[in-house]
Amino acid sequence: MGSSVVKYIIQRVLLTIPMLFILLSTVFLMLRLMPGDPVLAMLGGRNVSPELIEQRRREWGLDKPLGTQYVNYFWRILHGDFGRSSRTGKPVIKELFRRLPATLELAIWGIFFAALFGITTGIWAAVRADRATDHAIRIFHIGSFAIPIFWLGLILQMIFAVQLNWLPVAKRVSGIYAYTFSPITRFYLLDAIILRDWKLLLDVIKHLILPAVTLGIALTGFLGRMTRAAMLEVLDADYITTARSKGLKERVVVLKHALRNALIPIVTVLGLQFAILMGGAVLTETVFSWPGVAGFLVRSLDARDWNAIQGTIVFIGIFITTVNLIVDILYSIIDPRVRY
Amino acid sequence: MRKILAAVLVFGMAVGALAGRDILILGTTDRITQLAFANSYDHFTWHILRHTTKALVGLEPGTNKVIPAVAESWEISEDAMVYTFHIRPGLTFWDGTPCDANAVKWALERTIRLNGPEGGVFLIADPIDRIEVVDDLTVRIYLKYPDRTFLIRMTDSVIPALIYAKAPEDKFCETGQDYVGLGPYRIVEYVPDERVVLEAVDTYFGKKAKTKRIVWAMYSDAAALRAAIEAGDIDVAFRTLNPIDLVDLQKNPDLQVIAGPSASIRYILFNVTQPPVDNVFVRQAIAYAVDRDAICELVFSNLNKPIYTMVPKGMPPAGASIDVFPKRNLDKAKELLRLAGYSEENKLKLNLWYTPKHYGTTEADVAAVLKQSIEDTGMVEITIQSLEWGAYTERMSQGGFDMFLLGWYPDYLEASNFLDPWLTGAPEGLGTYFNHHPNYPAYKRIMEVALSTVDDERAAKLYQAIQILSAYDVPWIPLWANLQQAYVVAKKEVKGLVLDLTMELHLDLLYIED
Repeated sequence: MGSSVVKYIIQRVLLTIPMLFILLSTVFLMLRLMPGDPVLAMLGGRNVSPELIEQRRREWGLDKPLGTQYVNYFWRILHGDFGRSSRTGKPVIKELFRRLPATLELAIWGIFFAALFGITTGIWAAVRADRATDHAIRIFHIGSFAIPIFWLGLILQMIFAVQLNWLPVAKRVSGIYAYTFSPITRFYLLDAIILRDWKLLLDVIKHLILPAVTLGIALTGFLGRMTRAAMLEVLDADYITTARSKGLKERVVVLKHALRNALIPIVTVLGLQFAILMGGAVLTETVFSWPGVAGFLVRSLDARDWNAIQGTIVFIGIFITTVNLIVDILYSIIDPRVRY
Repeated sequence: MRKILAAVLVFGMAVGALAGRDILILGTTDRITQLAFANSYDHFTWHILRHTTKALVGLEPGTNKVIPAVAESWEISEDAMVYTFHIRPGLTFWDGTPCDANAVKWALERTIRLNGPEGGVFLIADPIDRIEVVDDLTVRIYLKYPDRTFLIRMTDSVIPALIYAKAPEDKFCETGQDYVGLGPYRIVEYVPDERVVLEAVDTYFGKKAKTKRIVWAMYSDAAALRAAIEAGDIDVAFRTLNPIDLVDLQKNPDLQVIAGPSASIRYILFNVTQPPVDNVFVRQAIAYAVDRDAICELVFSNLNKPIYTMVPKGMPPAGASIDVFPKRNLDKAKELLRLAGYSEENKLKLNLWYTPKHYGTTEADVAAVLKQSIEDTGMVEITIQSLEWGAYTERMSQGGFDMFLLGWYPDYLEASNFLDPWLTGAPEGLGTYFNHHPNYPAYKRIMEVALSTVDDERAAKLYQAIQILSAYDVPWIPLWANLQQAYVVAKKEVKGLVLDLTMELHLDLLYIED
């Protein structure tokens, strides 16, 4: 690794600091601008004494001036303290780490589905450019972009769970396993393999299919269109013509020579799509009662659980920033054309 | 040998099949707040906790009749100030610790001492003066003031619950596994937003639970819950499905839809100090104009029923509930509006406030139907306004609403709990500001006298008087009984579905019939 790469990495890491600063400040201010008192939201609707409301304000630090709250907020986050969730009573960071594997498992399989179908259909469309198959695939790609995730999730539930009874409606595992299954890593698929419980593995896979397809579908269209465009560009290149003139089979030309080069921008974009995926996870986790980080955020918003809302947004923000940073760094190492 | 092997195989399969029936899976959209007896105050948490222990007295399943629980009998003094309970002999907690008078005193005093700010301990902490151990099996509770509701308050196995041994003395229970109780189930696992698992206790002193394990699976919303019961992922769906879903599911031949009783009510409140609703003619006119039937039909597919008083039918003491509010009469409403100085040309301008999510997804529709029904007079112009729950409760307690929608789920099953809070209990906290009304002292006096009598008939008459007065002063307009929340949907083979007035399902009675 050359010194220019190291310099780039340092620059890139330093750039994340103002990004995170802006993110944290925005979250802090947005919550303070929301109407309504969070203490009353938690305690309201019954006979609450003013003393109790004041006590809660003190405990949550809301009695202090905004500037002091702001400084305290940063100080706590720098120390990994996201506060305690007023809804669950547990430290927010603990709640997030408990839920993170569920979200990651869903995201990984969502990306897998998107990559599998997006890239395959993209290649197919490029190979059949301007023919009926290409038009049909392009319509599918645009359609998958346009379909609202929550609507798709509900439709898939109705067809595959309620009508056909092939797959479960929601959640990560059947209730029957709730008592017997003790997760090790909280990545259920991995846990089932470690435990060598094949019935459980099948159950986990069944639970994963509909949410992963729902989450991955929007990305499928995006990846498909990108793959098609990249492949069309590569397929016109001179070296592809050379490969064909050498008498190589079309399958080898497309998959070995064209796809390998077309994949570079696609793989980069795939890593950067994590932010979109997290947005989709909010809806997918809600529709499928998936106990992940995004679902936790939705519940916390409903309950006006300030610490949890702040903590989750910041956590997701840091997570996406870190993923993007890693992708950028890896890309800079893999592709020397990236200038620093 | 083959025959023996075959028999063993068949037996094994049969046992396996039976073992499969040992678990019942229930789905809900509710969530647990804190598994702390002294610091929780919500329906679902209480529902779970109630199955893990018992109080001195209980309620007969499906009724409001007080029955023995930990105490096999009791006496109440003439002045309703002293309650003496005789404890069942030989009773022990799950871990074998004797549940005697000392244990009862310890448990109750611990709860009162902890008195969590987010809990409902005030329900017993306010009236109790001291607890005395008379002998090993007799405990006597002295009250600060006469309170006829005390026995019914003691039936709830959450606030006056008896927990012991592992229960931390100076802090709230947290995990569900840090106390021992006396109930038919113990909590063996709780994963927030995912599930809570209960397991039957072998040493339970009462009738054994019919199903060994109960798994509550938590769903994100009514749509997912409906799909889960339709697909057969869960055996029972309980709280809360949308009205339209319930109507649809009633047509499903594989499911049973059972309607339980409900003590939950919905109503309009007025801040009686705020113009223009400080004018009693205005409030009376609106009471004549509201169309309860339209709300129940258009919004709730007739699953909910109109009510004409705040006290639900059958609420003790017997005869306490009396219909006092008028049926819809637009002519009468117009007449009253004219008396208040309004006309078709000079319309009454009024806000109707509601909160969009706290009471489910139907609230905006309710507000729209109400607006239409009141505007049918031709003399009122309603502006619908909404605020998210946090802002709503804040503004309500500051007296910032003129006319607004609210709901009530009782703390205990007695008529006073449907009258007292808005009139004499917490009128400012609940936004009526009725303590500034000229008739407030009269209400307060009637309530005090009613609460201090042990004579049910007399108390019922006094509660009736308050209801009659309220129909004149109109601090509220009762709208509908919230029966929709007391519906349970289950697979056909699920038996033992018994719902209480508290909208609780008796988990220990549930089982799957082969």
